[in-house]
Amino acid sequence: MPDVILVLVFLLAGLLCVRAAAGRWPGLVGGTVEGGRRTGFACRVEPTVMPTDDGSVEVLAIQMCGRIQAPRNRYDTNVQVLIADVTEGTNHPQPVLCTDQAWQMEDSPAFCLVAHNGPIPRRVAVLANWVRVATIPCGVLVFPHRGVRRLQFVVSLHGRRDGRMIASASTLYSFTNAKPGYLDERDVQPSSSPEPIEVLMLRLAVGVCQNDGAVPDVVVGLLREWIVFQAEQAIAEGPERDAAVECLESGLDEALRRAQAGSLDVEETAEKLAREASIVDRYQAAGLVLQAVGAEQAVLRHRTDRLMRIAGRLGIDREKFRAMAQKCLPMHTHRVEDMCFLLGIEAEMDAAERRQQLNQEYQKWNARVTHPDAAIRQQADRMLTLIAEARSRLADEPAVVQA
Amino acid sequence: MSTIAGIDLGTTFSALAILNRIGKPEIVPNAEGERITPSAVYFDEEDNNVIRVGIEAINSRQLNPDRCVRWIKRHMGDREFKKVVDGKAWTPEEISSLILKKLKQDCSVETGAIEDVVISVPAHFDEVRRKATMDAGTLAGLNVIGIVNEPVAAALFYATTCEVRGRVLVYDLGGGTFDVTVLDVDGKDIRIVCSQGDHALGGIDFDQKVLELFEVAYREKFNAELITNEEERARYEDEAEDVKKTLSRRPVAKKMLYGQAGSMRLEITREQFEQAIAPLIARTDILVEVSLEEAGCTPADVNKILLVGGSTRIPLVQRRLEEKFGFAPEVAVNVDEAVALGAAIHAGLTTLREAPDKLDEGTAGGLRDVKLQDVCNHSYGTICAPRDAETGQYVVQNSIILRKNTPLPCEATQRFYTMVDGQTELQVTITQGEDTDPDYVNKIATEIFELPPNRPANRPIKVTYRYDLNQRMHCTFEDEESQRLLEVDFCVGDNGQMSEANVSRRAQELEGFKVE
Repeated sequence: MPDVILVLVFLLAGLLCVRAAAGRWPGLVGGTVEGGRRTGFACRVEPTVMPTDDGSVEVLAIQMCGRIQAPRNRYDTNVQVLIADVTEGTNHPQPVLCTDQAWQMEDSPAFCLVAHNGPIPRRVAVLANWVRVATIPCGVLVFPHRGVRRLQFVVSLHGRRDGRMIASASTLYSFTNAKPGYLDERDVQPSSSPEPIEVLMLRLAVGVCQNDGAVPDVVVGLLREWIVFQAEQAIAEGPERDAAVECLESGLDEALRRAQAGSLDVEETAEKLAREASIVDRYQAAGLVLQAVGAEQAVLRHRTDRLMRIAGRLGIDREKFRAMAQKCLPMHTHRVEDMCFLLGIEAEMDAAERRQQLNQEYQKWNARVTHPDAAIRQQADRMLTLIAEARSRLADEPAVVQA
Repeated sequence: MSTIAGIDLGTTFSALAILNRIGKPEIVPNAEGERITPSAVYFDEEDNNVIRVGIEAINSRQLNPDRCVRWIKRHMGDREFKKVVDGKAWTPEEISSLILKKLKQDCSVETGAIEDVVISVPAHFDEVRRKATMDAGTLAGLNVIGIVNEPVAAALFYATTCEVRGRVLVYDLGGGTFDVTVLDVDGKDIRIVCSQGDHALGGIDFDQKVLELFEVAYREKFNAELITNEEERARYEDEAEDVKKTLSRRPVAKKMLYGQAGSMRLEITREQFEQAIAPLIARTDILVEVSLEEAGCTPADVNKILLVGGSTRIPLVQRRLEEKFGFAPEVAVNVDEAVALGAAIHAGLTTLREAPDKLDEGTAGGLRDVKLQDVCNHSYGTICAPRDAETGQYVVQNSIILRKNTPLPCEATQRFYTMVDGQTELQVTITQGEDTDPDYVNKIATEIFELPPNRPANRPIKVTYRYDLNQRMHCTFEDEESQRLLEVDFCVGDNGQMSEANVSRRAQELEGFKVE
């Protein structure tokens, strides 16, 4: 797949006739070069910050100015913005991907922004000042590698009806990418395709729930239901959905085989998810694991130990994970051997910290004992009883609480 | 002039107090001459229209436990709880109303008809339970003019009868509930700082621990169960209570246990009892610590500890408090009556504020110097969808607008934004609770707010909540651009299971039952 994208971008770059001046990067303000003459149409990239509901977000403002020659007056146009990662040289461009589907190419996740620019009033028009044509949140861009990346932005105007390109400019911009790139630490096997994230999630759930290679039927049943649900949510009914279900079912069967053979490495699976999945997907993976664990009424100590390690490997917030666990493993319906896991008591806590943690948990669950939902009330009552038992043993004993 | 009363509707005992002609509260004994009435109801098997309340219900209970109801306060507001007797399904409000009816009847013999009452509730009672309590009063033919938190009532009584200054912690451990309230007192000026409560912690839970000691001992000796039917359970529950009370006075209590496998003599020491109730006492410790943290103070900042409720007689309770605070707690004039006496004062203050003409000069004079600043009992918020900082996704959350323990009257405003272009409707939900997780909060009102069409997303909506001294809540949702308003008003008492019409109808139905 990545090779196809590379070819596509290169072809597009070729079509746009973008060439850097020999031995010289144009810098922040660039222009098209045809036959050695600057045509006067230019683009630039300005980093800025945009306010949002809960703070602000870093964005790249794309601007253009200069001379535009259109076939006729009031020629309606679209503006197009493409980005290529040319850190390894303009002869070796790599695609910049986008997480927002609205700004992806038709057949790939490579970034491509197309927006209606409006009619050019006259055949020859001049933008005397810089005009913003696009604002791209940095968070939607995915680069090949972490670190300082040299990006080539290509801004062009095209006829809205006929697609004819009437102006184009490119510029280079240095961007510091703090996130892992899509090529980082991956063993690229040109002939193999990357595993769907959902397969990794299933493998993780199987790995956590397996005991001496065996996975309870109730857990397998839950995972198969999850596969169907995921496919129904994402894909309309038809052969494509059936294919997706089949793919995930194969993934599940493979995971079950590996578990039986003793070759399923849960930690490695979690690390792979941490590398390849978005934070949203990682939380979804944690949720699936907890649902699978919760399919059984009894949660043994070794399983809760495994759960906390998995949460660490996935790089998700421990407190959020614990809150999810409290919901998926309600005390009035489940027997959890290691209550310290649910109460947030950790081995390295001293007595004062344990007391503080139990107080916080008490306050939280005490506020829920009058909830209209009887199940929540029952769970809250049970939690308060357990917290009180833990607290009454607190003084001289290590943090061991039996359910 | 009308008789104003305060009622402590307790889990195990209830009491009624009135304000005398100089504004001082006095307990009114019941028809049996007792100052407190057991909160127990027995449905007579010979006459379906006769219901025994109080000590007669307790005495009859062991004969036919199925026809007796105790501890109904634990089920207040629980729409699933019903006690079916002779084909009629009694709700917790109806059963509570029978207890209130008895108190009202007995009082009217002494003092004449009662008109306006304030009923006390645990501090942690939510809107549904408060409404249920008010409904119980209405069903009993009372005009309920207000609801007061039990620790606040006790503090009111205490502050108006003793010279107190400084930070006070009211430790109210009753038959079924436990509340801790921190307040600042300067003479008759009382300012509530914060309250915390545990809905299922009280004397009946300590009795249960003693009962478990009986059962364990019998099982170990005979390898058989001590209790095999409800009559035996009722009997041994009373025996357990008796042992508990004995151990507050003596180091050892002795009992004979008679079961189907044989009889045995059992000695329970105070140490064994204290070990059995250790987890319950741990809950009280936690609540005290949480209250202090909420009040922003340490044990060293507390000047006085006031004990309220019969369960504070347990020596371990007093000892633990002394260990924590460094001084002995102060026992109120009568731990069983302080709440009713304080509720009567609260009734007087409410009447003085709302309808001063109803009070004679003497009564009003006795109350004029008393100032009480109460706080919001719970947090109130709304459901919204902020962007999660970690995932970048919108997540549905409860956002608290009015925080618990804010002094009354109070008001708070927050600004929210519409989410999508062209949004013409906003579902506004008013919540009660401390959680950010919407699954764990009580959604007390939901309305649809119509918005102007054809607007982009991110239009500001200003949300203001106001809570006044009469426990009325006023919520305003304002679309700032168009100035469209949605206003939602409700009172503690509006949002419950029984509508006003329903309450009136049920009150008429209950008139046919005779309470003795």
